[in-house]
Amino acid sequence: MSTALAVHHGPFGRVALYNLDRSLALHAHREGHLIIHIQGPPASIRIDEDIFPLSGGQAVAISPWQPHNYMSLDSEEPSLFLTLYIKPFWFLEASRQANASLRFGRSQIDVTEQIFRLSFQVASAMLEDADDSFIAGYLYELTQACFDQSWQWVAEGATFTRCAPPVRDFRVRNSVKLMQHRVSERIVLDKIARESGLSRPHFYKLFRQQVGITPNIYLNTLRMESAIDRLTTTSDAVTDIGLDLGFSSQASFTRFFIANAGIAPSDYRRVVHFAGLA
Amino acid sequence: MSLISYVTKIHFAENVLEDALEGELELLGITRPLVVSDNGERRRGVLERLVHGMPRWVDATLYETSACRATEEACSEAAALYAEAGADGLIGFGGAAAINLAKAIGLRVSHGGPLRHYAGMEGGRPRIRDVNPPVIAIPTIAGSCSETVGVAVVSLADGPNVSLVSPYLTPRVVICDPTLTLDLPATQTAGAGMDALTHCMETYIATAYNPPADGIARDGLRRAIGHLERAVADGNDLAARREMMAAALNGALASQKGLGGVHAMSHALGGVVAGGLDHGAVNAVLLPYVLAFNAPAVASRYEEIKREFSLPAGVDLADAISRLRERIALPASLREMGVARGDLEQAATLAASDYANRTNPRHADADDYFTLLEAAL
Repeated sequence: MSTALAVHHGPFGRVALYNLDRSLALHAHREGHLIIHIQGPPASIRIDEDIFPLSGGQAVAISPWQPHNYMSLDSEEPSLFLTLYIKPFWFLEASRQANASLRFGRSQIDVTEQIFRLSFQVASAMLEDADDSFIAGYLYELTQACFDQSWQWVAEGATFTRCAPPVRDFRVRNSVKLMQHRVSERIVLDKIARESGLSRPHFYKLFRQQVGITPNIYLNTLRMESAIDRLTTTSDAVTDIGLDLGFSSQASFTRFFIANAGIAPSDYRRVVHFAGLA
Repeated sequence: MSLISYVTKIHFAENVLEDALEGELELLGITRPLVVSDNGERRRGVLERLVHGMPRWVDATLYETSACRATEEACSEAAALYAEAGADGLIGFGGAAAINLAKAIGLRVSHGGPLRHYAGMEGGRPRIRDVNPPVIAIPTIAGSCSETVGVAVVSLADGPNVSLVSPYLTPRVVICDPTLTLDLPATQTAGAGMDALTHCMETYIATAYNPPADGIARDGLRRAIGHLERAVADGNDLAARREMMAAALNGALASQKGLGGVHAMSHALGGVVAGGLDHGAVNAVLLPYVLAFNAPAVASRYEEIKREFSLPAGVDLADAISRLRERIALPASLREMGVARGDLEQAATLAASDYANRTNPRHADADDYFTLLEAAL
């Protein structure tokens, strides 16, 4: 069973220490995402079409809305990861590229001594729960170090990630808005397609083309955001949160949450912590 | 997105010092400034010019540091003086040491605590708030490139150099008066000039996307290549002095885009070698090696630089820099400046973790830096 050792929320977004021993479903985040291997057996991760190692000295950078799924290679022993979900706006000042939204130049990040040190400091600060005000500063440095490296040339070849074009089709834009408004209802994507004036196959094709991910992954991201928000800012029962998001039972909600985050919703709520200072 | 900001107010004119100083002190409401100066300004007589140029209603206190870089020790000493004098603002007068020190003193007197607490690498950036007293920066050499930058590099009491980084550390006003550089000796002029040129070159090839910085850097390169030798040959060539001060200012303005491997190593060596080094002269030795190392990543930009230098297509940029360094009589190797082989390993490690390494166009680790330092020894 995967576990969360610590989760901190703050103006920066979220940061978590996860012990993962199972693979996750394909998913995406609105935030810039960094996964740094801390200890345990090697694992790997699929980002878009490519598979990257997640082992000692390796980290990956995932741009907002880039679909990915963690793949566990060893079901006996979990691997410990420091996982960052950085809000692009919080990072604006440090970002040095022409594209918005914390888009990384390359997925594979070499854990340099500096990145290792910063990761270690973030992890220690989270586990010790000592002085929250350090976490934001360390996260800023860590994110910037990884971000800058992702734009540096390496001899192995610069597999720079493509930049998603802006969503131009008004029907797709409309469907995005519909999903955002109705995330708390039992959403049927067929209905969204219809209301956006598109046939189901055309809707799926157009959505993928324009947003870069499928409508299902997009909707799942919205559900996860809503679930995490309610788990951490309200005391609503897990069952109610699941039902409100359109799940028929707590079990199916929990399965969905584990497939997307690695841990159960109740565990997430138990370990989450709010860090102060912007 | 790239956040591009050109934030501070700059006076640039010959003999502007006296006029601008009075007006700016008045605007900032400073009546009791602490003037921070580094080694050499008194000897050259320019410090006297500043003191005499103070308006009558101002009661200035003077702090002079003999070190060639800003240290935490000097910062503590000056902060005590600041409090004792009841000062209400700072004037950094000199090279990088004086200007960095003025920024650090401002931080210390408004925030308190050890400087390490605010170091970027220690997660200190968000701890620096908008409460620093105003700092006026007056460069007296053309090349320190620290006057318009929100960064203060300081040697900590317990060892390493750290960078304090925050937009709130940017001086409020910069006064660039080229006449202050007129009697700077040739060797210092050459070193400072190569520092300015390196700033422009490293920012131009840095990974970030910042078109205004690129334009400023290219303009700086053109001015530097056209006037550095003239300023070295004749220290009283005012036109050459003015153009070199402009090149240095361009280097400072462009450096928000990020630096590269040359500065990563010269920052590191500055912290490792006892007694300190001429930062600009070290840059001049390292630049050709770093240009060769970075060539696979940014060769196309070298062609643009060569155009600013009016170099023919077949000429190697790194070679051209080496020849320029010879013509202005700067040392050809690190060893000539007192760097020993035993310093290299620690310097390479520090260089890899230096801020400037983050925007070097090619990813470089400590091994790469060791190889480069060894070649330059």
